[in-house]
Amino acid sequence: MQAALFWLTGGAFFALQLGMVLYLLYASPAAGLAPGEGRRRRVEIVWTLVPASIVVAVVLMVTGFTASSWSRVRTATAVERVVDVDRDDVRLVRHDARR
Amino acid sequence: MQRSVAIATPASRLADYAELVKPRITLMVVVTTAAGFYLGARESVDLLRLLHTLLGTSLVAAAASALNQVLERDTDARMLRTRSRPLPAGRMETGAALGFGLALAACGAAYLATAVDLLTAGLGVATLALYVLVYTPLKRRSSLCTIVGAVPGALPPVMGWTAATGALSAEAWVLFAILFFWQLPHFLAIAWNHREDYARGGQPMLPVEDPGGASTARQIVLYCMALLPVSLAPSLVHLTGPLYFYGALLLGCAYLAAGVHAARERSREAALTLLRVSVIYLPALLALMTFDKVPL
Repeated sequence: MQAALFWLTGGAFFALQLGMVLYLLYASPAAGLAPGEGRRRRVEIVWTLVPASIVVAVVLMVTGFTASSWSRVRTATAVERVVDVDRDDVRLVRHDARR
Repeated sequence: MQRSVAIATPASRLADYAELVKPRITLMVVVTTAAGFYLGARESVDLLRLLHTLLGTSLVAAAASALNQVLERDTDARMLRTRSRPLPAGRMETGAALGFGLALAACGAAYLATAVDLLTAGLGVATLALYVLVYTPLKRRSSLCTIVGAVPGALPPVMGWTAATGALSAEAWVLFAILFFWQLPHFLAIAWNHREDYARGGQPMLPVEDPGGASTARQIVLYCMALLPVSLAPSLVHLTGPLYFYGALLLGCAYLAAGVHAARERSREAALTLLRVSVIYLPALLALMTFDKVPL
């Protein structure tokens, strides 16, 4: 439930962000943009892209996608499955039948 | 430019030095640092280390405010809301304020390096450098200064975290992101209500460059929207529990609603409402976080 709400709110943010970027890039009045409006829009596009990059970084960290120590979650999560590497019946080397 | 310096009593001089360090901002830095420290602490909180961290961080924050006022003394003199500050009002010499700011910076960095650790001290120096050397000069050039200024504003909880844990980790960056996103609608609401003043001071904040308010409105909603998933992340990284998660969701929706209201109305009253909601939001969120912290 919590993960679903996280993705839902995150998805809503990205939809809004994408809509805003498209608007700033392509929407213009029939008479064309007023003087200085082009520069103002470029600045606003930067305003719009910054939060997206930070949200992406947070999503990558939350999903455990990043591996460096400074971006790994410190707290221990519940262990779902223990892999016993000492079991005799685990075949560590798979023979290639073609050889 | 020659300025007359008023004769001051020791009490008024002390009050001027207190004003130079922007006590409310310093208090916010202390609170967010303490929250970061508490959340990072494993079992019990090392109170002595917390005290060292808060003292060092306060010195660095005070230095940033003092040096910012030194660099902005001319701009401040042109703005109604800042012209009574000690430097533009002529109650303090620039050299005295500069010396005070530099001394605070050196003491703060040295204190954090010796009493806490080098990582936290490094973050403190980075905060100071970003605020004074990047954000402050950028205020005269581009509205993007607000985004740059939000970075040092979001580092105190990271410093608290590193002081408690000795390392950076994902949770610290989640705290950073929350503080970062919280500041933007908060500041845009202030800038909207003082846009004439910022224009007078030659500071091209977003509401100054966008008199109609359409850009400001869009960005307020976008940053409130970004804060919503990010504020839920502490529970997903097992830093806080479900109480925090649903509380943060409610608080985030309230902040977003205030943001949408401000964006639609584009009025002084709506901006003031957004500002009020923002100052309730952050302490409430931090209180929820500390209350529902998941012990390691």
